[in-house]
Amino acid sequence: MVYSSSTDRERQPLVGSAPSGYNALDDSSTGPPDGLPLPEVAPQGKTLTWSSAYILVVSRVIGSGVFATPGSIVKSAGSVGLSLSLWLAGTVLAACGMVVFMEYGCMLPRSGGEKVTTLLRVCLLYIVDSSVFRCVWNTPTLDPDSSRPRSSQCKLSC
Amino acid sequence: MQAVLLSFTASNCIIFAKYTLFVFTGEPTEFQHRVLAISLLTSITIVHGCFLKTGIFIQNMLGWVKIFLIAAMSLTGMWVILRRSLESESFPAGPGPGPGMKSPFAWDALWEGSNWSWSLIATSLFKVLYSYSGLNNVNNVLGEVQDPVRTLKTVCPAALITAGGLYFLANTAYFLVIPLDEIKESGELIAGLLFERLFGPHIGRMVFPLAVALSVAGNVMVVTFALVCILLFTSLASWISHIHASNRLA
Repeated sequence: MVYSSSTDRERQPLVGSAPSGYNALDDSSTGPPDGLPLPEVAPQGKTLTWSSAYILVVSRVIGSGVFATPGSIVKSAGSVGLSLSLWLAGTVLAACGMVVFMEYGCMLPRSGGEKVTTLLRVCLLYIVDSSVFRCVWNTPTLDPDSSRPRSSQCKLSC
Repeated sequence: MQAVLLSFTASNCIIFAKYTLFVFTGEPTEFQHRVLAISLLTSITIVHGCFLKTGIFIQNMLGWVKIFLIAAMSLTGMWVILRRSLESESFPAGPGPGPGMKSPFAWDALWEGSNWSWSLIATSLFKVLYSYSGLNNVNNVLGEVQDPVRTLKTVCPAALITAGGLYFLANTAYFLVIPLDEIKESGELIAGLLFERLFGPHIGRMVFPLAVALSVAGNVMVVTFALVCILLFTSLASWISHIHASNRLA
């Protein structure tokens, strides 16, 4: 074994039992095995300027859909007014989703998108499972041995 | 890596192959479709893998061409209709009904024939939302962006406004140029009809598939780029096992 120095903390499951003071975002043991911090910068350097990033998003959003989707929407909506208001409602909803992802991206400015925020979701699980939350909302616990008290250590404000 | 990429963008590649072959050959076979689709994906992967700057340059060019193309298409449509209505106004036909009488944008005609069934509305709303999917694409490549947080804060709203504006422009152009009944009949072939009406049957039939092919090629390039970034990052951080663990728990 090369990495024979695995501590007790590493052997424990991630959510099942968190030692006090554990913060998944700052835990260096989740990084590469040789203790490098999580890379914020790609190895080949930062290659994208503002306009490249802009094109990256616009080009992803506008695919072949702009040529076909309006037709099928009018077909099912039946009138010009209704289909235009559907487009408006969809734009507003898309803006809501976009704001959430902007928030995530500002918290953890690294490559990986949803893969990065998976860790955040684990943190949310801590909050849902915490004692205070359970007292307020009376949710069943996710922890099999819930006899010992646990508090939420996750700080979502990075 | 090819296998991973194929599962995500295969349909777009095949759309690209269909429209490109439609322009250049009369009746392409299934085999030709697949060969072209796979070669598109392979060449994009090679370009992104070996010539990073060139790849980004091509990607940017395709993106700008696409934006200008859709804007030009919609604005041409509106301009043609406006000119036509101005010309007809300059020859007043006596004190009859006004020129805006048969316009599809009169308030009553706007809502005529609305279908208020909830299931249809929900399906259409999902279609609209699906056409906005990908606004979080820049999240996938934040490690490559200069000054990530500030870029993220400005790029996402700008992209949303651009995409929304283009969608609305395209919609208005369709409604102005093509009568509503024909739109309902044609459904998803709506853009083909628009091009035929604007540029005539021959040129329109050439331009329209090229426009679709360009648009889809840009899309495939961008998706590939983002995917490569995700793969690179997850492998660098050795998070794959980690993600599996957290997905199982969540």
